[in-house]
Amino acid sequence: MSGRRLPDDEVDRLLREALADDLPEEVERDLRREARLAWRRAASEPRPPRWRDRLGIPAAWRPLLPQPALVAAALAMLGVGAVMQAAPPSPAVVESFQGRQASARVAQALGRATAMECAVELADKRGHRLSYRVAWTAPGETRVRFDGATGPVERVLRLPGAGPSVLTRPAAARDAAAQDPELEPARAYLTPAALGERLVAPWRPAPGREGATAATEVFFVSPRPGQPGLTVAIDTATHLPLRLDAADRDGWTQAAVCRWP
Amino acid sequence: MGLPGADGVGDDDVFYDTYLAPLETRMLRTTWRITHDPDRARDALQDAMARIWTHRERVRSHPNPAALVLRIAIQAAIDVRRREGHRWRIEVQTTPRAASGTGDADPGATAERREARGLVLDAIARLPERQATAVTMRLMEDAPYEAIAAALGCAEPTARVHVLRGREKLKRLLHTLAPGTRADGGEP
Repeated sequence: MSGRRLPDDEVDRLLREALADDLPEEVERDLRREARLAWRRAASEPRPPRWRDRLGIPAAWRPLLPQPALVAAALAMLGVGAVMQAAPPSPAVVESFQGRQASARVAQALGRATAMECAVELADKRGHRLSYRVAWTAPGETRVRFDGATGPVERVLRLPGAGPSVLTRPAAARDAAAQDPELEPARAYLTPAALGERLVAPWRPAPGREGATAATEVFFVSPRPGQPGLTVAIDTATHLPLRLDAADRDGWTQAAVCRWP
Repeated sequence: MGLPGADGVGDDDVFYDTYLAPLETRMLRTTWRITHDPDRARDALQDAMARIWTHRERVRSHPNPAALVLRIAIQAAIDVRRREGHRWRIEVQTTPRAASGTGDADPGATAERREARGLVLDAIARLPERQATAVTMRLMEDAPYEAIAAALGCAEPTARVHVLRGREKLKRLLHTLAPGTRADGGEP
């Protein structure tokens, strides 16, 4: 469209001429007769019922409350919305959000890991101790050293396909370590994927727990509040778990310290 | 206020006599002034009546029923113009009609005036619906902005804006009709 335009008086003149009131008399008579006929035709044509008729809503709809009451209600709702917006969020919601965020970050970090060293200590209530040293390197070699019945033992496990993803790991590979009952207590630490599986449960922040420092965050991982679970200290920079502590109902305590070379 | 026919929809003649009969002349003239053709005026009038029938309850409860009825008539006429614009232009150019009733002695001047009128009405039909209605009500009916606002269901300042913008758009659309730009094709 160009910027050229008519002056005001010219456009008015053209419009006056174009919209001239020059209805011829015979046409007017004809149209006048047609007007009422057209109205009757419109009135006699069957029309489908409208949604309002189907719902039984009266044609002359009026709000149930007077307008000032509706305005007051709208203002009150705006006020409540503003207060809710300004109020601090519920601690439970914040905890849930922080837990989910940490859980997702740890899962991602475990998926990216290329090597892991874990020192796992287990003790029962009578003082029996088990100690495992686990060293895992990508793509699937795990060395486990522990004190067996006849002295120190080192096992090398090759877990083909035991990648970091819990979802893509074949079931056969997942169960390979479980076939050796001596390794059973350390099974959750044989690979990052197994560790990730161990951490699949709702996370809640546990800032007062042992191990919380400026560089670490501590979370409690448990299927339900009040049930035995796992305390995890994670590195705030790498989001990898540094220490895991657990205690079960049988009196076993478990502590694992992990390094991520 | 108890309006006739407000208690039912069967009393069509009462509605017509109450709301439409007083506006009949204005409606006829409005449709004629936009169409300038007996057949199209009749089509527009039929469309307008059908629309009013559909929206008769709205007309009843409207604060300014006359303005609303007029708006419907204008829109129906503009819609006919839009619908048949191209076909119409060809017909007007090839078969000069006697219906304008001007009785012009100069056939050339009559044809030129008819062509100019067609271009102006086409330009109005090219405006957005609300602008076209506002401009037509204002310039053709001298309707006050209050009535235009009531017909369009908007505030009075908004009605003024519709008229202003419609006029501005018409100025651009119609610049080819300015003296000096038609015959020689140059700028005024």
